[in-house]
Parts: sequence; C-alpha cells; structure tokens
Amino acid sequence: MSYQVLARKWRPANFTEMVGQDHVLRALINALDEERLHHAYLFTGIRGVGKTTVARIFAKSLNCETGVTSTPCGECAACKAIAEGRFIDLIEVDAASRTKVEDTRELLDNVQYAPTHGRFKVYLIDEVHMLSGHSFNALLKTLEEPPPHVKFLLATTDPQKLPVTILSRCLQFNLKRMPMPLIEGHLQHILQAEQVAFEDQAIRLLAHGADGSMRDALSLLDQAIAYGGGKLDTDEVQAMLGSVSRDRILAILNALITNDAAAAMNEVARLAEMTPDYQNALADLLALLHQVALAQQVPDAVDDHLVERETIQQIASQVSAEDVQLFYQIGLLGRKDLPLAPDARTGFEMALLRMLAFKPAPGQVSERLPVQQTAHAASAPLVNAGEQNPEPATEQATPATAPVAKVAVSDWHGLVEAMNIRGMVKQLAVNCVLHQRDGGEIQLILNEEFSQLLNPGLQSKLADALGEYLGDKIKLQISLGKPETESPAQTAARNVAERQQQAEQSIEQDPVVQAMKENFGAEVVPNSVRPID
Amino acid sequence: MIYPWQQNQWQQIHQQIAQGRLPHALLFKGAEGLGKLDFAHELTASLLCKQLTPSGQSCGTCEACKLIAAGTHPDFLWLEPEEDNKPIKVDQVRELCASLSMTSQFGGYKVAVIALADNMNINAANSLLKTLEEPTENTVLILVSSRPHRLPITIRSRCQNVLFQQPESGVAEQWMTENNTADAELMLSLSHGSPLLACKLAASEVVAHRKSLIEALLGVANNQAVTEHAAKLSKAPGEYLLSWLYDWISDLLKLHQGGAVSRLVHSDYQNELQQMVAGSNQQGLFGLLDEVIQLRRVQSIPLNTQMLWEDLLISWNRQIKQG
Repeated sequence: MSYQVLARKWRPANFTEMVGQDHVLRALINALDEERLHHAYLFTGIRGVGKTTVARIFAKSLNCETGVTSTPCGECAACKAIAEGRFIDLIEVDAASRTKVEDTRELLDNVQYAPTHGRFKVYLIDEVHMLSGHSFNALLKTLEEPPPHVKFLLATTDPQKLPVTILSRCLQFNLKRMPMPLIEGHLQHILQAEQVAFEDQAIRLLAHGADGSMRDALSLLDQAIAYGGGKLDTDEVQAMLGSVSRDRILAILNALITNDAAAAMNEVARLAEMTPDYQNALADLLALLHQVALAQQVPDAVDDHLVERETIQQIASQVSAEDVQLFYQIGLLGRKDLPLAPDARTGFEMALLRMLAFKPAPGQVSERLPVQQTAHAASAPLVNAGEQNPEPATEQATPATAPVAKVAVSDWHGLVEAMNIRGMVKQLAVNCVLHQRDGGEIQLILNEEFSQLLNPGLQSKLADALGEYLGDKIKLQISLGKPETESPAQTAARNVAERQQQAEQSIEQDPVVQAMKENFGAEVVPNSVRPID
Repeated sequence: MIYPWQQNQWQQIHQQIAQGRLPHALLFKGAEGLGKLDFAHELTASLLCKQLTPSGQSCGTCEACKLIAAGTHPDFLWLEPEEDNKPIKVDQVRELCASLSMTSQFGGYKVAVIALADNMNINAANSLLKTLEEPTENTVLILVSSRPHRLPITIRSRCQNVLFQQPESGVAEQWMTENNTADAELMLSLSHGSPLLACKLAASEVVAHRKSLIEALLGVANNQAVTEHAAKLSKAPGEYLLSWLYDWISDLLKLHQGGAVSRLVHSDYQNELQQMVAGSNQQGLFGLLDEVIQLRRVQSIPLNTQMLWEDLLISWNRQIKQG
C-alpha cells in the first residue's frame, strides 16, 4: 500500500549503478580491491549527490559474505540485511537527533565488542555536522585508533562545521554536483525502466530544475509523473515547475529595453495567468541578462544550445552594456527583497519598475561621468582630511603612485611631507619656508614666532634628513624672519579652518537639519560641528 | 475543508493516491491565507477515514473521523510552535520522529503535519532529515509553509512540492460573498488576493487603522506635524501598516510609469494617489520603498514604534516635497 518514491526505489545498490562521482568511486573500489582500507571515511557534498548511498554500498562491500569486495553480491544474507536496513553490525546513526555527548558515549561503549554477524562493525553517522562540540571530542580517540573490526563512515552536507581534529582523522571524499547531462541520462534510464512515456525537453527542464542534485531530480520526476497522470509532457512539466516559458520572460526583457513600462506590466499580467513562481521568473530574467551580457562582451561564450540564441544576440545589440549591468544588479537585489514584499507579484513588478526608473536617459551616461568626477574632486579635501594640507597632498599624489620620483627642493611643502622626519624636527621644518637654494646649500627662513625651535641639534638633524633624502651633502642655514610665502604649517591651519567652515555650511544646508529646524524648532549647538575625518 | 480554489491540488493528490504514487513527504507552499492547513487537515482525514465518500473526501461519521475531529487520533500528529512566533523546537521534532518510527495504531497510514514548517530552528530541521528521507512504512509527512525559501535546502530536496496559488478574483469574491463578507473586493485587494486573510481582515478592526495611515500620509504631505500622526500609528499593528504603506508607494510608482488604475491596491483612494503622483519623484519613492522593506526585515525586533513612524513620515514628507 505504501508507495516508495523514486529516489528511494532507485537508490543504487552497488558501485556500478552509481551515476557520476567517478573520482570517489575509483578510490574506494581500488581501496577495497587491494584491501588498503582506512578506518574512517568522511563523505561530503551538496544535498542529493549520493553521500549516504556511497556509505551504504561501502558498508555492503565490507561485509559481503563473498569477502571484502568492490562488487558486493547483493544476494547473501549480509547484503540483503543491509539493503533492508536490518543488519545488526551496520549502526546507522542520525547524528542530528543524537547530538548529545551522552548519546555518543553510549554509542562508543559498544565499539570494543567484536561484530555479531559480519566482518566489520560499521558506524554510519549521517548529518554528522550536527553533533555537539563535546560529542566530537568524545569521538576523537576512538576515531583515531579504533579496534581493527570497526569502520567509521561519516556523511554531511556541511563539512566546515566539523572540527579540524575530526577532519584530520578521516579520509575525506567530496562528492561533486551532478552535471546536467548525467541527470538527464539517469532520468531517461529510470523512465524507460518504469515504462513512462516522456519528451526529451521535459527531461531537460527537470534536470535543470534539479540544480545539480539527483534526489531533487527524482523528487521532481515523481511529482511530474503524478501531475501528468503517468506520462511526461513538456507543457505540463513546465506548469508544474512554475517555470514560465522563456518567451514570456523574453517579452518582459524586450519591454524593459524599449523602456516601455506599460508593456512590461501587461506582460506581467499575462505571466500571472500562468501562476508562476516569481522567484524563479526573476531568476530566469537574470539568466537571460547574463546571456545578453555574455553576448556583448564575449560573443563566443554564448551557449550554442540556447534556443533563443539569435534573439539574445539581437537584444545584445540594442541595449547598452551599462543598462544590462544595471538591470542585473537591480534584479539581484529584487530577488533578495522579493520575500519581504507583501506579495510576490508586487515585488516582481517593483523590481521591473525600478530597472526602468533608474535607467539613465539616453545620452545621459556620457554627461554623467564628468559630473561624478567633479563631485569627487570637491569631496577630495574631505577625504584627505587626515593629512596635513590638500595642496601638497595633490602634488604628493605623484610620489604616492610612483614612489621612485623625488620631490624637488623648490617644492618645500612637498619635500617636508616626503622626508622621513618626525616630532620637533618636523615642527621646525613645517614652520620654515624656502628662501634660497644654491647647490648643496639651502637657506630657510623660520617664522619668528617659533624662534624657540631654532637650536643647533634640530638644525643638524634636519640637515641630515635633507641630505639623506636628496642623496647629497647639504649645508643648511636657518634664519629668523617674517616669511613672505605661506609655511606648510600655515597652509595646514588655513585648511583646517576652511574645512571647518565647509562642514558648518554643509550642516546648515542639510535637508534633514533644515527639516528638523522647521518641524521641531531644532537648533545647531554652536562649535559642535566637526569635519568628518 | 477544501476551498473552491484548491480543486486542482486536491485532484492531483487524489490521482496520486489512486495510482498508488502518494509520496511520503509533501511540502505545501504558497502565500498565507490560502487555506493550506485546512487542506492538509482534510487530506489527512481522507487518508485515515474508513468510509470515504465517492468524491474522495472524509465521511465525518466513522470512528477515525470522530477521533480526528476530537484531535485524539493516535496516527495523526500535528506539530506547530508551542507558542506563537516561537520556533519549533528540536525536542518536538525528535518526539515526532520517535512516534513515527512505530507502526500505526489503526493499521493504516500515519500522518504528520508540520504547520509553519519554516519556523523550525536549524537543529529541529536537521533532526527531521533522516525521518523525512526514509520514514517507516505507510508514513506521510506534510510540511506546510508560506515562506518555503526559509527551509533548509536539504529539507526541500526531500519533499514533493505542492504549490498553492491565489485564486482568480472572481472565484475568491464569489466565495467571500457566499460567506457574507462585506467589501469583498477591497478586502481582497488589501490582502493581495488571499481569501482567508481577506475574511479575517474584514472581520477584524485592523482595517480602521488603514484610514489613519492614509490620513497621516495625506496630512504629512501637506506639512502637518508628524508627531501626532506617528503617535496614532504606533498603536496599530505594524505588519499590516507596513504592508499597506508598501502598497501605497508601489501604487504611486505604478501610476508614475503609466500603469493601469485597475491594479491599484488602494483603489478607493485613486484620486488622492493620482494627485500625489505629480508631486513625487520616482527615485525617492524607491528609496522610501527600501526603507519599508528594511523595516519589514527587522519586524520581529522590538523597535520604538513612535520613532519608527516619525522617521518614515519625515522621509515621506521629504520625498513628496522634493518631487
């Protein structure tokens, strides 16, 4: 009376029935044939690629009455018992339900006893990532050196949750996603065996929907057979998957690139008649945009099998690369926000409208760039606020990008920043201006307000630093006076004042602040405004 | 009970039962208020009932049906969060798995329904995996979720999906009028086509708050002070208001792009909406929409609602003025 779903009915019973995962099977088969068996194996991989299956077949191979073999007979008492899930020496543990350390200890209590019936006692611990930290630690000693009659097989989708101490004690096999052709082949094989009529395109849709997992594929197949009343028909599979025919999505894309919101909404209305899954519909739209972007940048990379290849190439020639990227980004965000919209259709429509609303008007793209650049330049002083002053900073850009280039002596501001000096010596330097340079002799004028900085020790240190930087022996003379030009320190002070003013101004003009003043009679506390560093 | 808009799903599952292809794990997904749980209940009853009616529904008079109605049928397990808005705990799931591992009391099916399945926390979901993949004979597990994307993919991969969709408006309206619901059309539009939600909405007093929301939106657009409106709104249930605010903004955006008036959610405020479109700016409205989405995301966190609404209304005022 009870129906066994295809995924269970067609669970492979030996290694030859397995589809894909050759890299794992080969290693296991060779290990079995040469009897070089490790005592702990860990199988990882996404859902439905065969972790538990591999582990069960491996358990059979170990305990088959014909001897340790890579081709278990499937007929002996041990093989049958394992297939029916009643073999006494195969202990299959659902780690997610038995996470506590007491459970694990109870399990390990019996490790020391020899197997009752088979050759090995096999512990198959499924969903092992759910064990608690203590449980893992309780396992460590046994997992490292189990008695010779014990094998551990661990399986999980989430190996990054296992402690490294467990990982290092196991042979790890990573099972791969199933490629689409393999899934298609297997589905065809099963349908033939089950004597169900099918269309190739329907199989392809199912394989695509399975997203790399064989169990998903078989679950979908089950559903499709039931839905189609015992046969597989492309239209019905499409309806069942909630996947919309690509024509509808293409029509929406066409409406988008022609900037026709009304047409896009009409297309959504037509789409809605098919009761689609909007999350999928948006994903399909993104996939199409991806193909369009590919067709624009790397025309050879477009999938040859695509039915709509020509349409995509035509679209690619009509729409700018920026728009495609913009649509893609908005679509991506839209997918994230879709569950938060009151209903999926509204969310989908909003994503489409947003694409159109933020699409720059034709010709605006080229105008926009300079605008952005000036905006950037205007904000540059703010960004550089941490440094002393913007004027040398702009010139400093050269040494920053090309560190080899030296700053000339004539550019004293730049030179002061570029030299490796700190503390008092730097204070001395920033308060001087260059008076004259004559070969190895440099004359500076120190602002007389800072006369206390002038002492022979600092002067000679500055001379050394200059010499080191310029790679020359420098004779330095510093005289007191009133410099005519601005010293680096003055420039810095002036900049700070300017920035302060700028900040105050921007606060005054800020729409939020203005709204606060208007709505709540708020005031800006004087002197509380600081530029953002 | 089976609602008129669930006939397709009902027939599909019955076809599966007739073919002997009923899978052991089903995932009912679809928006809230479509009667998925009622469907699951009726399906369970029809699986356990001893004397099915010719149409395949449960008889309601046999021993099994009476036990189900009393909530004491031993082969019918119903799992839901112990408290509202709390996750389904791992112990509940373990208990369920333990009961399912035994043979049925009546010798027929054992059925477990997990309502609000996406409320299972990560541990609970993981401990269901093995049972969900290979339950014992004659077990059927039905997971019901209106947010299936929140279920772990390992769970989803083990289930066959049954998708429930919003009924066509005609069907829903007819059903609602048969059930004596006032304002069927508006209620339906406000609850995005979910008839049960619409009925609930019509019966509750929440709808009155929509008026204050719209008054606030119109008032603030005309530069009334935000604080009083916010105080009023902060007392109303936030989930409804945020959803209606989302709709209000999306209505505006649709009108902006020359959308048809017929698809508006707040269709009774058409004129107000249309007047507002001229004064608003699309990109600003999308910014506001993002704020609403963000708030819907953090809905379960107790925020100061007064401030939240002040903030929203100030942004609204700014958007409308900037246009």
